[in-house]
Amino acid sequence: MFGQTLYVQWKWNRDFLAFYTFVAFTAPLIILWVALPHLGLSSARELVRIGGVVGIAIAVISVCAGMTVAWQGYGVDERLGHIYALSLPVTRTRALVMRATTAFALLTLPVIGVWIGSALAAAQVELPANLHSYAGSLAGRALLAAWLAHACMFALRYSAGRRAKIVLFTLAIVVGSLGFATEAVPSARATIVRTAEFLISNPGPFGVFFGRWTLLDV
Amino acid sequence: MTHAITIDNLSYRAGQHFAIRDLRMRVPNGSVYGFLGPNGSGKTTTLRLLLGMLPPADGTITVLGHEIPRGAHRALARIGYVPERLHLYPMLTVAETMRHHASFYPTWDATEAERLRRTFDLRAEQRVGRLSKGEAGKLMMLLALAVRPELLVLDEPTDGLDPVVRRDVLAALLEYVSAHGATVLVSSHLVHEQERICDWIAVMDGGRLVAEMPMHAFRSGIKRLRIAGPPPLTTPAPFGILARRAGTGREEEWVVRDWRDDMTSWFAAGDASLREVVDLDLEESFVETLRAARDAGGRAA
Repeated sequence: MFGQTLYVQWKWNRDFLAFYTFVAFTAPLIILWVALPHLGLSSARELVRIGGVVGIAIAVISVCAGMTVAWQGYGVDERLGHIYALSLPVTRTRALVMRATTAFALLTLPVIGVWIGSALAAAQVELPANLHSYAGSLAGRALLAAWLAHACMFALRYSAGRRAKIVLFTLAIVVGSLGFATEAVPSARATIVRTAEFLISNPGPFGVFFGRWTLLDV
Repeated sequence: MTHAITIDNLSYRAGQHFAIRDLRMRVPNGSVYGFLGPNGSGKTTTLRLLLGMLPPADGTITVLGHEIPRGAHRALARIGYVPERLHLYPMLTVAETMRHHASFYPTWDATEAERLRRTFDLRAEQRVGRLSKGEAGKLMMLLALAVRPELLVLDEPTDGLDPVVRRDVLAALLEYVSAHGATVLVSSHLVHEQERICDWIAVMDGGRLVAEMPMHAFRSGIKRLRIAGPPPLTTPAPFGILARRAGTGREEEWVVRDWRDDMTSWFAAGDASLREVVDLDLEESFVETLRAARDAGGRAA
């Protein structure tokens, strides 16, 4: 059952997965190939900056891959009115878990592209003694980001259209209110900022998106 | 009599204009139960409710002993379902669709599935998205039958199919039912097709079940009577009067149900004379039943 679900998900997503895997593989190589002739090999500071550019590119690719796989997987069922999915003899929880886990498995493909592409790109560069390449940890971070982006989009899409709109609307209201509160109520500012920092920094739930993404670092 | 499907006081609302109200339905085990009704009467919604695809607002549904929607996944493992439109993933081939479907059903009969594929002349490598309407109908019936179901739920299974494909699909269905004694709930507005295959009939209109009876009672019990000098109905009639229309002169035309030949004496007791008793075919019976239900609904409103 899981194998067949994985296969079906692969057939839905394979074009996008191939695209993202290709882009994730080539992005580090292209960025370094374009940047290096203009930098020379001795500027550690510039290399770190380029490593950061690679990291941001990988972050964007990972998030896009995760969201696309969730969006597309839901879209296929949506076009069919969810009739087939609902007529299969499995509980909805089990069906959703299978969908999510097969998507997680497939998202490892672009991450493998990140890993190999980053490792090859870093191997082209003669790094100064105090610099290191972090192809493996960049790939690991990309995997977590892709999974988290997928989970967010998956939750939103599968919670049905009306509920998804309510969730988005509520989020917008909350964010807007917090923005207003930080200006209007100075005493609340510290609490709100601390909460936001917790959410977007490690080990907060969205820390993986906002942490330091780089291929080359000290 | 045991029942494969039991529905009591079922209510469901979709939007402002469509609702199923206080639906009560019994599908006997081993029957071929025809579910008739005009488009938009609530047949498809009722089928989706009893398969657990939609949550009822109120009431209870039991299918093969499982309470729906809580036990829907257990019931679905014993049900073959053919929806009214193609519901399968278009990017898969016929063979891939069969493999995918098989993985969810422990009762899947691969030999029978392959036999049906050949009988239906479906190419294994053909993509589902490129199947003709007839081929899609045959594939959906194949999937429903190959799971060796105890209950088949068919929603307009032959709608839009050409006569040859329709005959193939119905032949496969009847062959399976006669061999395995499965219960069939088949929704359709093709009255003559229902007449051929069903032994029970239910009529739905405006979200209400307006008739439910064995096919023989539906076919032979509804008559059109031509009456001269009709009685004023001071004594209750032993049959149900579905419609009463003025005819020529002192004559009236009645459409009645639950008619038996020995009931002619009821007219003789009064001043009336029964001139003619006309058999109605299923389609006329269906139309008269609907008309009576709508008249009654209009009067109630």
